[in-house]
Amino acid sequence: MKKNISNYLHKASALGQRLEFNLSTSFSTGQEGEKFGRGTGSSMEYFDHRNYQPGDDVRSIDWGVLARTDSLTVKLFKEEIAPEVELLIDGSLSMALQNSFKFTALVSLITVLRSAALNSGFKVTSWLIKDRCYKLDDMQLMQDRLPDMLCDYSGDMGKTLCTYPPPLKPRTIRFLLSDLFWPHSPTSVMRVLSHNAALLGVLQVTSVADESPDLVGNVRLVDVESRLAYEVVASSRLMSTYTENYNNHRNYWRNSCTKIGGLFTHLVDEEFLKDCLPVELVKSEVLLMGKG
Amino acid sequence: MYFLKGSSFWALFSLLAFLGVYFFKKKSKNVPVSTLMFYTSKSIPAEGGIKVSRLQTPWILFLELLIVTLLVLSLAMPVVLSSKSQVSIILILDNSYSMLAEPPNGHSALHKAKKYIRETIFKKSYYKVSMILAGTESEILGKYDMTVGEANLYLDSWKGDSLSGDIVEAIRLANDAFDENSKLIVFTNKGVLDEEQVVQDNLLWLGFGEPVDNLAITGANRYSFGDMDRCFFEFTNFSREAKDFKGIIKFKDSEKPIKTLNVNLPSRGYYREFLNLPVQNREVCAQIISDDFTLDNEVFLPPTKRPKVKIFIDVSSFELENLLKYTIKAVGIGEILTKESINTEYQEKVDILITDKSHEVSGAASGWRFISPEYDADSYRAIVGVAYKDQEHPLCLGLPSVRGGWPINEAFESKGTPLIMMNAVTLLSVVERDPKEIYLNLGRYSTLSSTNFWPILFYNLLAWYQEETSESTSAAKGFSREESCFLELNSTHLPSEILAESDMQHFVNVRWWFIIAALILICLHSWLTIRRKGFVY
Repeated sequence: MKKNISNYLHKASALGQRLEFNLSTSFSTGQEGEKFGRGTGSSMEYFDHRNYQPGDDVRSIDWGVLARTDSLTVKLFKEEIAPEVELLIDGSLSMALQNSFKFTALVSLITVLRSAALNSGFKVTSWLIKDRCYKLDDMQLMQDRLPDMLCDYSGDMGKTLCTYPPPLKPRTIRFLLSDLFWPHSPTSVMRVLSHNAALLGVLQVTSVADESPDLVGNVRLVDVESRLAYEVVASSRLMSTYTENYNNHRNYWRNSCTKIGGLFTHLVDEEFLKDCLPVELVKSEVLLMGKG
Repeated sequence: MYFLKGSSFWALFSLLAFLGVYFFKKKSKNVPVSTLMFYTSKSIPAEGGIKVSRLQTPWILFLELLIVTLLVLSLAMPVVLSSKSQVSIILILDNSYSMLAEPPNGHSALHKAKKYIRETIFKKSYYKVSMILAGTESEILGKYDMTVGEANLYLDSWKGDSLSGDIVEAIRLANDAFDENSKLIVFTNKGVLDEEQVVQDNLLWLGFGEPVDNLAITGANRYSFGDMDRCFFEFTNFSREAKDFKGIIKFKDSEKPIKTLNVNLPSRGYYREFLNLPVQNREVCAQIISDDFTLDNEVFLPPTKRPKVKIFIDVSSFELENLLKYTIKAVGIGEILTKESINTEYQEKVDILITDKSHEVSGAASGWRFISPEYDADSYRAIVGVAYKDQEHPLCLGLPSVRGGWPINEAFESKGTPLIMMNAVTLLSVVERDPKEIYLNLGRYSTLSSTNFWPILFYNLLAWYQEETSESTSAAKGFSREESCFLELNSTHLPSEILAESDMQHFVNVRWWFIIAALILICLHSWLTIRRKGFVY
């Protein structure tokens, strides 16, 4: 199993090195930065002129051009940004559902995003969410150490995020990697995570068994986290109830995320692992395919 | 505590079903899922949460088993006894010899009845038991209202040794002697008698018999016929088919048969044999050889003429001595012994000693004693009245009524059972244990000897002695054709519980203890298995 995970991590790492995060204004982190973004900012390096518009800072008026041409113009300077990616990883038992590739997909996704961030010159901070938010160091995120990450928490993730939020830095790109199978209201979680974020992405990672459970006859469904059991007879009515509730839950999260301007995407483990490419992030140009 | 409907315990087998379901469920497929949130209907309000059932743990299984056990026990009618709870029953036991008839490969009705009594009745301590042995005459066995333990000890006295079993008489005795509310249970080997004879709500008739083939001696007689003894025997085949009957007739003290019989008798057919024998003082015996039931297969006929009763008279009064000698000689069945004869070769051969002395007489210690006061004593008085006598006693048979005066000796001490009394004074009494003692309080100046009372009394005395000491057995008592016919024996349904609902009115019904306990456990079971706060969606 570990060997299989290593193969996927290898693939994900290789893919991640071909991806770059898109540098745009919305990603700037403040007055100073280590890089020049594509937008205008407040650095000292001249960028361009444009006609004065009411409301512009009068200190940026180019008085020399006014003297020469009698027209009001302002100078534009390049922006400075300090991009950082923060990964908030679901550490609950459901992420390690047995007989599924959910955990493999999770660690592969972590690898892709981390590789892409590092490839883009971003810093990466990772938080493993259990009863508290535990910071993962770089060693724990290495390819050979990631499979040892323990997803063994059986409580409410939302409650942890709202009650004991991690110390997130301002203006970072934040990704929540989880199956979102907790009862806590998504609105409050979104509020916490989106505060002062450059971008918030919610990446729901599920398994094929979560999407469409394959149940036949009399079965005893055992919740891997609470160990509660539910004895049922698998019927079409039960499955339709499940599907309806499942989709409603996802839509609730999607709407909550969209409302605060975040990005919601959904990955199914086996499909994702085919090429380890987070398609939605590429489509929305959060990630860009680099030249190599 | 007792359970009156023990058959309900069969329902405990349903516990196996619970165990089966439990182990089957343990083996049913466990499917691990990420969450149970999405498996229930949205219509459940959020504040109620989703109901999730717990796994069936061994504790819950134990609860279910306990609940079912309590409900089954409540079905079995549990009762406890109060001080008024004991039920009085009277067992009427058919003591006729037909109860001993054993079918091939089976047990006799007596054996089966005893077994039933011990297993069905004597195992329950809430019975007060009285028993009546129904033979030729009915007698109460043991004492009134015995515990089952005490009654069990007396049950072995029931041996089936009576010539017949008069059940109707026994029922009458039970109705007269015991509480009319007691339950009567008849144990016999016959079907229910004619309804007119036995019509009682509290009577339960239990038959344990079944038809058995039998060959029996149904008649025997011997009488003087001129200078010969004529013997008559009747043999009957009480079988469903014809049978070869084999028998012999012989003298009791000889092995050599007088006659050998070999006859094929049809079903219910009989054979009569007549024999003329020279007059002799030997018992004649008839035996059936080819039959398993032996009680009615042998009969002895005593000689027609019995030996005379040897009497020794030792009284003080010469007058009385002569009177007694004259009377005994006239009676004809007694022989007077002299003092010389009892002291020599006839020692201990005195059958009856007639005396007015209290001391023992050498040579007469083993015989009966007929005792009267000294005739010449002065202490006497006359009583006047009507004498009341025990008419059934052999000494009193045929005695004329006595009215008028009767001189008695006031110092005379009578012992034993009074047979004739006048004005509360015992005139004639008997001690029945052997050797018997007869006391006659007759004073001087009595004129009784001049009435027919006197010879009849002494004839009865001698005849009674002959009867009591005769070695004749079966023939004197006589088998009956009805009793030896085992073809009509029958059995009835044997209930597992002899008490009706109305008999149990004094039992304290504690069924509700079990039902309430079960209800409490059901509530606990429901709480444990159904309600645990689930997820709110």
